Amino acid sequence: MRGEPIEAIKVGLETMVAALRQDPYALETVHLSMITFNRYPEQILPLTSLEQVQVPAIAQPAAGGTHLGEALEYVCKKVGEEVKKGDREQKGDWMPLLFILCDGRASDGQLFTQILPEVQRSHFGSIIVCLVGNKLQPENAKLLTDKIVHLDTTDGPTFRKFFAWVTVAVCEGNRSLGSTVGEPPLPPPPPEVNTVI
Amino acid sequence: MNDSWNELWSDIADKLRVEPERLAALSDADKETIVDDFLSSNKDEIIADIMNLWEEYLDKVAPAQSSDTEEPDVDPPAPDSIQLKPQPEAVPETVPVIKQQSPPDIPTLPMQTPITGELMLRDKQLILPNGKVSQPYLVDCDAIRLQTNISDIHFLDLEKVGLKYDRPTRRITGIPQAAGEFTVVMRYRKPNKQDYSSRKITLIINPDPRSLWNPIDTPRSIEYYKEDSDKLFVAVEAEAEAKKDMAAASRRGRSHAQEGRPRDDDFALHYEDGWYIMVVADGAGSARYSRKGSEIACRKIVENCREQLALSREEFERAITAVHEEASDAANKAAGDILYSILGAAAFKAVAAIKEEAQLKGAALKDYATTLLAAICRKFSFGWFVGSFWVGDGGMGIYCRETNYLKVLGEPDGGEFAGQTRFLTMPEIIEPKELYNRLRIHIVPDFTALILMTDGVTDPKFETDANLKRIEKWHALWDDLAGKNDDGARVDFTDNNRESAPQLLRWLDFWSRGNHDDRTIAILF
Repeated sequence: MRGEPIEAIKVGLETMVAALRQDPYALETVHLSMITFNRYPEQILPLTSLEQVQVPAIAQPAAGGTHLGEALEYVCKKVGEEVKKGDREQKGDWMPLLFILCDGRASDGQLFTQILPEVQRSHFGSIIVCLVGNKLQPENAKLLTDKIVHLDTTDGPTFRKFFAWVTVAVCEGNRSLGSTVGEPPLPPPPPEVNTVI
Repeated sequence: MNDSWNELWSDIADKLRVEPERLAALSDADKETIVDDFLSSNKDEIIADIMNLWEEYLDKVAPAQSSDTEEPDVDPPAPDSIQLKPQPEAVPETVPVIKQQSPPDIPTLPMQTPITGELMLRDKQLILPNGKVSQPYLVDCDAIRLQTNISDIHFLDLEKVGLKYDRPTRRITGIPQAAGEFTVVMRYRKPNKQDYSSRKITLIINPDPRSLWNPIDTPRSIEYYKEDSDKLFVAVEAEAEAKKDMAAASRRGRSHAQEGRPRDDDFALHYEDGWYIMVVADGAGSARYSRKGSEIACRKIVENCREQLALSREEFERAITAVHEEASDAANKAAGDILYSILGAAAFKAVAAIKEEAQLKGAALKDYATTLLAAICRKFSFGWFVGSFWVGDGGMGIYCRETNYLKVLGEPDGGEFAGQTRFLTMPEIIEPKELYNRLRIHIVPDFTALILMTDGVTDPKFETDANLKRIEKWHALWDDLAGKNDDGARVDFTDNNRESAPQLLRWLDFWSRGNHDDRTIAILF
């Protein structure tokens, strides 16, 4: 992704954070981490409580390539380091929700395939892939999750609607994750956002 | 630009020794900043001057009035049409005259720990830590000065947030009054430059979460409607000596109230022929009919225990006496088997009843997922018998304050992540072996309280499973219940105190950051 989509993501994230701040439960419990990836993954926001979050600048990718596999490996590593697991002496965090915004390509196909089992083992409450752009490759995303949405257009308003939906998903997940009864409910995506079957 | 402004300006320029040619080149905005700067850096002197002017004015205009008893009726014309507040902490150039007859009525609030931090430079962006409404803000701006070698830092527009920049200490201080994203401007001088530069900084002030909670009554039209709170006191009438009573309360969590969703917790208490029956249950947040699951579980446990006790009470009481007298494995096993036939069977039948309800509704059993903590107790001549059954999170224990005795009646079923637990409605739980393993039998001489709680209470009060086994935490809980808290809530655990149930319900409304689940507690005392 380049240009307008990246700008739109930044605006979308800011809108999302501002909206989350209006939810008292989210304000006290939600933590955010942001990782960008192109040739290399980079954590531009370490896991930070919503109260302290300031959405960082997202740089235009300098290097080519979409190393989705490497990004996922990095995410799993960060989850291992930053998400607290519960034991007798420590209260566990809620299960993390993973949102991936990409065009679906994995330039490092082999690593991507290798890393899939580790992603499954990382106990994400939900993995939601948002495919952006018009040259989509949903095959990889389908290996990750069945919750795939597709944004046809990459304009600001559509992104805002998408992030509004993500916001609701975060608030909802935050309350009712946890039980091992089943997957936490995910609200239906807005009409502008197409679910990939 | 009027004459008095120009006059003031040339005065200041003179004092600051700005050359005339440079003066001509300065923009109005720059001039303003320099004036601004001058005013704040010479604050004390200016205030002294103003105070003198003020006194002169009072002597001249109102010589007959004693200035320290009453303010004049009309506002005096302040010099140069700048209105001033005759108080040392005034910001001279902007604040209008404020007349006060008495000191302001400021409610005394507990002093909050300030948000501290420093102004930082990250990716060429200036970053101020986020503040929070009503919480003191104390941010150091000195490090950035040393790091970047800039000087004369000051800020515009901080006042609108309720903050100010203190030049001598180079700190931003104050208590933000409103939430939102604000843009403040930092002005500073680069090394060896006369001109001021300015940079915009976004300052985020978070709302106070307490101000955002907005409870909505649960609509009565929903399936399986349940009252948003419930309470019960069961008095056990004494004949010769005082007998223990039971109180319970259950309150919908703020996170449910915010969305007008129902309470999922439930409880039940019963006393009959010397036997106390206590149950609390927490319906799973993610299961759509869990409020009914917890209700059926509580009701059925009481019903089935009563039925079974009616049949096997004498045999059970003999077996318990044998446990006390013999303290043998065989005696324990015999009593355990009878407890299984009472409480284990009751749990089994409760699941069957939930299953039946689910079938009627055309829903799945897991839609009714609930935890369960249950105890049956009786006083004997040699002490108290407590039999219990526990599935899921929360906590249940026998606590004796005087003797520092604590017996936690099982293990909470926690997971690696918050909120993970096991439920009565899971198929493996009602396997006979599993049911049996979750039963406990204890005989104790006496106790202060037997307490059953859902995780809405244990999460904030105990936090971890390890803490649930620490007597200090139970002492703290008991003190808290007795009034040692910030909310002024207090429960009187005196004999036959009917008020204990409403008191308990009020106590359950305590505040704990991030803990806003349904809360239920049942106490035998």
